[in-house]
Amino acid sequence: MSIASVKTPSSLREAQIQSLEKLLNLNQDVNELESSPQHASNFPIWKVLIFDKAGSETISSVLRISDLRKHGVTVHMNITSFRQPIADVPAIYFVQPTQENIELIIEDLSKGLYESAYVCFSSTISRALLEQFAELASKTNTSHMIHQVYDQYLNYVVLESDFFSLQLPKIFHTFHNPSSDEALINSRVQDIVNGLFSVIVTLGTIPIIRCPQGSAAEMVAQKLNQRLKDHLMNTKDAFVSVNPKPRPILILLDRTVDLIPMINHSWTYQALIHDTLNMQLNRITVESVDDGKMTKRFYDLDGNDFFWESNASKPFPKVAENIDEELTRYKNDASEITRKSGVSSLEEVNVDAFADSTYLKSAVSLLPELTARKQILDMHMNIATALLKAIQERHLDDFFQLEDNITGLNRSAILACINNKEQGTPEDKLRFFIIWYLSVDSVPASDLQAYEEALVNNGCTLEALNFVKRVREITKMTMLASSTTRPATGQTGDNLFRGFSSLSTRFTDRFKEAGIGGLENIISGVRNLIPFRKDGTITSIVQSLMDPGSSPASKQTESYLLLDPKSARAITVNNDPRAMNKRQTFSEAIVCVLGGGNYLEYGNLADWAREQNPKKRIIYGSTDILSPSEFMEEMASLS
Amino acid sequence: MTSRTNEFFGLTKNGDIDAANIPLKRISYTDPFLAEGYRIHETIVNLLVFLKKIRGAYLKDRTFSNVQRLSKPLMECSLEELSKLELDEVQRDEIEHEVSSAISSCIHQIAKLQEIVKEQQSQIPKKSGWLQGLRDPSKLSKKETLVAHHSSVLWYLQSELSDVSSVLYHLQDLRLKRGQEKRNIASDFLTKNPTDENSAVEIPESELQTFFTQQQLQELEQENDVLLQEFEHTMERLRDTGKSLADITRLQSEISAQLSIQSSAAEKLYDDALNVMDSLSGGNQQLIKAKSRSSRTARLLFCIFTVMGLLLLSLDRIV
Repeated sequence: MSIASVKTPSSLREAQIQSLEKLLNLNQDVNELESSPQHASNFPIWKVLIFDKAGSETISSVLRISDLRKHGVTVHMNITSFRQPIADVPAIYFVQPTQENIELIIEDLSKGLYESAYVCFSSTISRALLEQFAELASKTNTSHMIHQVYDQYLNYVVLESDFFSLQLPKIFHTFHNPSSDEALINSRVQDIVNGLFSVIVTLGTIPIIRCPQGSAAEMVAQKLNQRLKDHLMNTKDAFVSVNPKPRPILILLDRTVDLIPMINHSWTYQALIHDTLNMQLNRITVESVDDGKMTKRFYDLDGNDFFWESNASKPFPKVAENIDEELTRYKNDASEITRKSGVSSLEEVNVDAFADSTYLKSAVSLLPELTARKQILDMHMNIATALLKAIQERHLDDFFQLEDNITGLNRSAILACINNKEQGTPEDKLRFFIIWYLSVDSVPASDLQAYEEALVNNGCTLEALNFVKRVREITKMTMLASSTTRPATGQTGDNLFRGFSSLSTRFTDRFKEAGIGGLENIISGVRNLIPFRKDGTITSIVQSLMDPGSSPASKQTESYLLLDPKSARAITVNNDPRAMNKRQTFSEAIVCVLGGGNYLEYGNLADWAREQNPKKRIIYGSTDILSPSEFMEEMASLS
Repeated sequence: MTSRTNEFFGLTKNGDIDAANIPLKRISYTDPFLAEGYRIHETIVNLLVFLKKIRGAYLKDRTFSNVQRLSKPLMECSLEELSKLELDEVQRDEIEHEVSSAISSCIHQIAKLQEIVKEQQSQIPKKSGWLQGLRDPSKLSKKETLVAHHSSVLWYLQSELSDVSSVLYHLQDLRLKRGQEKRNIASDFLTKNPTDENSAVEIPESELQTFFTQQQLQELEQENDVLLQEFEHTMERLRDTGKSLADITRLQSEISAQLSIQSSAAEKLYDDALNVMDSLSGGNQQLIKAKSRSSRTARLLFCIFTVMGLLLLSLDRIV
């Protein structure tokens, strides 16, 4: 395993893209190929990419079709689909190491679909399976067609610059279902270890592992520690031993540590999109009804989207303002070009019409940039419109406002919210109630019954609540010890409930100009809420582990296990004073929550890391990224 | 990532295969389209390498040439040789001309390949009409795959060509800018000079005869003519450079237009393919439903007929 690269990537996404680009260039160093065309000419340029579902998820979340083409991939197909032969080109297989996949590869080669095969397994192929693969290749006399076999360690998906998902669904269900047998739990733990190992390999440094004792997280931590130790022993090279980077801390947590962020009604742009629109692997699907016909529109988000990068974690009203500002900036830039060129609109700009090369030059260099900017802004305007509709339909601003001050609510306020027929879906009401239920110290039995009755009367099913009742005690223990609330810097309570009025006039004008009308009514009903930043339980835990002593949660995290894969000691005894330094501060952390994560938690952690002086870096991930609805379903299935 | 190639070959029956010595690239191609694609690619790469190597000499501030000292044609010289090279303005123009005509010929070759793809595309039957059901779906898909594959090859070539063209454009732009700066400095110097030297006094034309002899006047006039000619020549070259710049930009915009057309066409194709896959899976589901429905009907009919048969039998017995 060699981690050395010319340019050190600044984020997990960049690191993954670098690894993927290497894969697409037949495992050759991309920088070397680019700098030396003579060297590059030894390799075929055009190739076919064959992937399985997991491989396609990994690639599609960070690379576009044009990126694949830039690296010479002409066609990409699913390994299970019916494929036609393509002459003279090699095929890159980016698949999971499974029996089915190796059989399919051998079948392709026997049929002579492609000239040769470069097999890249997304995680480590076991020795037994590799033997089987070799045997099959020998039997069918196709081994000469296989040019490379690689373990790529890329079996995870990166959704934001430092946000990953291991794409392992139903982990929360498996870990908390009493009927899950040990074998199933062990196999899921192994899957998690494989995924986390890959993330660590991509990052290129061996972390120090911390986790609470006696939990599923501990099982994962122990196995991961062993895996990293074995790897360090077997491969004397690279990885980290020579890497001068400071070591990060890997914090493994169970989802039950804090359930609230999973079902909270949040107010940030990306969390709202994830909650209200269909967002899967950075693709947003917006359904709209045009002339009585249901149409679906797809929008892809990526790292090149300047607006998304700077606004994803901002509160929605602020994002609306920023769209407005960006549109004004675009209009100014466009009018500048049109003024210089003497045409009335950007569409009329014709490069041939320019006699003067300086105008020509500026127009040629600015036009593509402006067009791309307009496309991005159009996309965000459409998304914002869909969000506004959803906010008004479900009164999400009301829910957000109530949840912002959840502990201060009395019985009548809660019942009023539940019984308000016009406010939210039954699921919204149940989410609100569960958050309240988890936030208060005790609920009298008679009150609880009244709340449950009200919920049932309003169309809610109580399965998820029944599960929460079961885990409440565990969750409350960790939550109470660590949760803190503090106002974000520079924000006062005055603007918390400032009306949308001043904003809405400008905002709607822009939308009208852009051809999106009918928003006045929608906006008038939505408040311009600017939330206090709350440090959730997980942020507090991370803070106390990265900066011991700085957080009230420090006492609680003191008992967390500490495992160092580089240490010769098998497992550190918790109270051993000679053990590793638990007071060490870290500037970089990998936080992985087992059982589901979401954008809200990522946003909270990222905000906290940004506010630190010096800045800290947090890479956040989970076994799966779940929207509040999906998580409610998973909890309900455990009832 | 970890290479398992050697381990894999060790496990195969012919374990003596040396992974390091497998020829990676083919020498000949069965697909003529791909062969032509590789040829064009090589031309473009050579152009790019040449432009990188000649950059230093091209931008050097020299007006005399030592090209004749080179042992090989310009394109084949090494970086060391070209770094010692000095060029005059005419040769710089020649290089520009040569590279842009090579780019044009590449465009021409790519256009030919494009024709082939268009032809292949026209052979793909449209996805409507009752005859569609009778066509062999595997054949249809083969053509579509090939068109998608070839379109991507074209996209790659055009993107490479666009890169070379922008490298050339930047070189020309830099040359022009430097030339402009030089001229600005020279003109500043010329305009400042008379004011600095207060001794320079304008002599009226009538008195010229008294200051200079006839011969001196003639010489001065000739010198003046030469200066004027030189100035005109420079202006002409400036216009030419401007024109070739405009040419290059036009080429670039043409290429990028082609690129966008190409990519939208390929993306459409890909979407079509996905749609076909979706409709296929939808169709499969329908088929499964239909199958279950028909089996249900068959069972129902069987039951009815059995009951009726038994009824008939019993009626027969009774009668």
